[in-house]
Amino acid sequence: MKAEAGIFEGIIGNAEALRRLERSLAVGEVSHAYLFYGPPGVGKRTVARRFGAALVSGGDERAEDRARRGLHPDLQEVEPEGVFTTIGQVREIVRQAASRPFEGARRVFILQADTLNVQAANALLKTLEEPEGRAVFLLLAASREGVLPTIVSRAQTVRFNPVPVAEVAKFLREQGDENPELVAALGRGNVGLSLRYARETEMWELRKAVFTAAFSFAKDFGERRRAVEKIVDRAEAVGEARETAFLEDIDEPDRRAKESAKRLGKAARDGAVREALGLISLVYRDVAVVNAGAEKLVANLDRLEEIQDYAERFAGANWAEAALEVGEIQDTLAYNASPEAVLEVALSRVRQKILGAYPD
Amino acid sequence: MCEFIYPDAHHMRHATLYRRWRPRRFSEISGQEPVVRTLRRAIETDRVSHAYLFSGPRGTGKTSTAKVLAMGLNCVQGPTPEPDGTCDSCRAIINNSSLDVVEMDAASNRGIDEIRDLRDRVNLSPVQGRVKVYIIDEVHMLTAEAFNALLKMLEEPPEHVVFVLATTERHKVLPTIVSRCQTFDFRRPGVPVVAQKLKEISDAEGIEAEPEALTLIAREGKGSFRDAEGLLDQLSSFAEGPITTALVRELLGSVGTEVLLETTNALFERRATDALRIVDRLSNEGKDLGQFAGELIAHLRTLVLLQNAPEVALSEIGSEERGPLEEQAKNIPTAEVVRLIEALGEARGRIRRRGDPKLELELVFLKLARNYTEPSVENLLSRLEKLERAVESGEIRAAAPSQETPEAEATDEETPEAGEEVAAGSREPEADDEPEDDASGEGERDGAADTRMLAARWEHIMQELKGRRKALTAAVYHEARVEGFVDGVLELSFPEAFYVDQARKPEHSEPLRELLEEHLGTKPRLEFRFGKGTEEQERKSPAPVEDIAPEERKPEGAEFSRFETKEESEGEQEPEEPSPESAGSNGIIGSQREVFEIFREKFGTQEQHRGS
Repeated sequence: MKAEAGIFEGIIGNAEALRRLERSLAVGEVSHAYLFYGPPGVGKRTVARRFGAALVSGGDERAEDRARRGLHPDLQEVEPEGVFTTIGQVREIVRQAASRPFEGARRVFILQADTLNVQAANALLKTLEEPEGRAVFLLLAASREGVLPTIVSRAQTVRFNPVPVAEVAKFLREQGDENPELVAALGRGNVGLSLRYARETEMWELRKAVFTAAFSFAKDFGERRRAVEKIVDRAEAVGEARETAFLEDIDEPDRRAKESAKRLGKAARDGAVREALGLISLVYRDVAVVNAGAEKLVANLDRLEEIQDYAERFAGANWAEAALEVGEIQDTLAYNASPEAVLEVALSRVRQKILGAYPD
Repeated sequence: MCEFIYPDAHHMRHATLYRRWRPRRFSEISGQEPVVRTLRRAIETDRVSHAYLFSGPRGTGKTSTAKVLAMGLNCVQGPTPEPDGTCDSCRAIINNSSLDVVEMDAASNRGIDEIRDLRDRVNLSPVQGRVKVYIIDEVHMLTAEAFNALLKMLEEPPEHVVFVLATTERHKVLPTIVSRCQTFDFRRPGVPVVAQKLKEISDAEGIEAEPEALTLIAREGKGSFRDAEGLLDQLSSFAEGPITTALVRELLGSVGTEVLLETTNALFERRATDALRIVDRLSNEGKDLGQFAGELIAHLRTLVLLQNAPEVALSEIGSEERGPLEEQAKNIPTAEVVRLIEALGEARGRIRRRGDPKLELELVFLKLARNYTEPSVENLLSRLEKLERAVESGEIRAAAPSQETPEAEATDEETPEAGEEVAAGSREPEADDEPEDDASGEGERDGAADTRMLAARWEHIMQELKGRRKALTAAVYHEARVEGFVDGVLELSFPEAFYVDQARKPEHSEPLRELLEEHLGTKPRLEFRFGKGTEEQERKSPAPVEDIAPEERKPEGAEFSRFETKEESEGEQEPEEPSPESAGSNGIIGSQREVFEIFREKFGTQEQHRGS
């Protein structure tokens, strides 16, 4: 379901949560703190910006419009300094929250709650519980568990769920994208990711490389290594495309812009490697699903034959375990391991899991 | 867009249900009877301590109790355990405007300066009342210096001062502080207590709510009044009519008992497809699957409780769910329920880390539904025979199999969980008790004992590495076989050359060496080699897949070959007659126990695959 009108127009999914927010605006029962939590790519930040804009503007449409474009002094998005939102930042917020709005009806702070370290989170507690001024906190997080429980219990929690694949598919179809069902399934509820599959050829290329690699477990080491290198190449391409796209939007990029572009590119590359591992998991999950007799639930619809073939040839193997194994290795990416090593280890482990079922 | 004014009064009404319902009397503090009794008694007998430490989970009434205590001490009618709540002093405390009650948030004022500031003021007399009460919230957040400064004050507090320190994490408070305070532990109130409180609030506020719905809210509050009241608050603004269970479920994204019963049955009966369809359906309905995993675990816990402590379970469940729950509890054995809980618990951990709940749930359901075959005694016997034959024929050489250990393992092996867990690869084979036995060293040589200890503990050590966020490192060394540990040199062999390359990298080897240092007391030198590539390996089972290069043949073969090379290395490293005990250290089977371990490692998993 897509919000048709109102402040959340055009946002797909999570209709229930959006309705609650709209209702609280309409009747004026606004809490002093909200926690929007849920996986990436489902619109938390967009919703927070629009909701925040409505809150600061207090009904003044021009002010609201300004706030939406990030130009209202009472709507502040606090970006973490590096990995964390620090206690220094929080102290500043606490100070500002106690004073009157500059011009709007309220002051609104949008914070990444799961980047608050323990000290910073604790420093925010009192303000969250009994804010002195007209401050509203919109806290964003990937999960409830990533936020200090004492923070969670002081905020109204609004859950954002992955968007049902069928809804994403419908949206993509309306937008005129090709293969809406497939692309929606690949996104696994992450609308942003689905859109990238629909519109970035680099992602499609990455996926091709992933399939080659995922089924290279039975091949020799050299071939597996080549498959891994291919994935890393494709991930690089994704990163480069991101970098270029960023610079294209700027007329005359200075050094800082170039550095930002580089950083974004690297993040996109790392994200692509992560996505590649996620996709490998998904491929094995599909095989397991076929083996369990639920072909209808396969995500990689266009590669069904290949998946069925492997399901048949290795019917005795524990594909779900293999998928879990890849997921576990995926965690190590967070610690700066080289993507090649991570992918190679992943495939090696899968090889043992799958072929291990056939000792004689 | 909606028009809206800024209705302050309305805003207050909404945002503050839990603040407005803060207890104002001891009798309103629910679920903490022992604390309340002691404090009342202290006021009555004029034995109020100068320092209290209130510890307990969030939302159990710590700050509220501190404030009631302050009111009682300063009330015009007092000191009294029944403050009137209407005198100037009481009203000021209620409004947070009393000059004699200083509430300090240690989390945002955690440094020494703040505490020094407090110390400078602490000698001033109370302004209005008799006693100055300092409430220091989240006291565990103070820095070490601040703690020490606080300590000084607690040692010799002025006559007119009472300190109340509150914390959710008592273990982080310096013991020297704890010992100077009278300590009260605030317990999590039970579901019925919270539900009762919610009922009082909703009655007084004119909020219409089904009793079942209140129970559900109380359960969701997990022992926190604040959480439960906050939820009630949200629901009352969200509901357009009375609060019903359906509405609570909608807000929580909860799936409801029926789905939980259905899923549990599907898993128990190994109907993978049905379990997957449930996931798919819930996902299409936009349910929170992470929460579903949590609810499923809670549901399974209820089943275990119904089987073992029905009175506890019954206090938490509504009457209309009772029948079907009891029926399911009767049909599914506890061991099976526990198995499901364990697997789902792991899955939930992964959901938190990776945040793709649908995929993780599907995988764990697939795993649960395929993996489990009751190992029959017959089956076990035939496997044992096979193993014995292997031993006799010399494929595995057993040096002096001893009779000491076997029974425990044997029974262990027969229980379904044991077989299952091994299949899931989640359990190290009884590694922990092993080394201690050896350490007593019946004339064993050190090197041999260490090698054996390391080999037995390897899995455990790998888990520790993972625990230290070295999962990739663990993945690499997980493939290693401990060949020997002599004179501070640890020799590891790997089934594939690729691992050797990885293992040599300092980014991997250093964390391993550091961890080993903690286990062994010294930092070992590491030596790596690739497999053993002996001819014996060749006669092992050919691989099933055409396109596997010969040298790459799979670890199942390698499993046996390990023991074979063990013989060789024995020749090199241990020329003298090894004692039966120390033999194992070289990788030769030293006891029946090891046979069982190998047996598990090898056949345990295989059987699972065949079984399905």
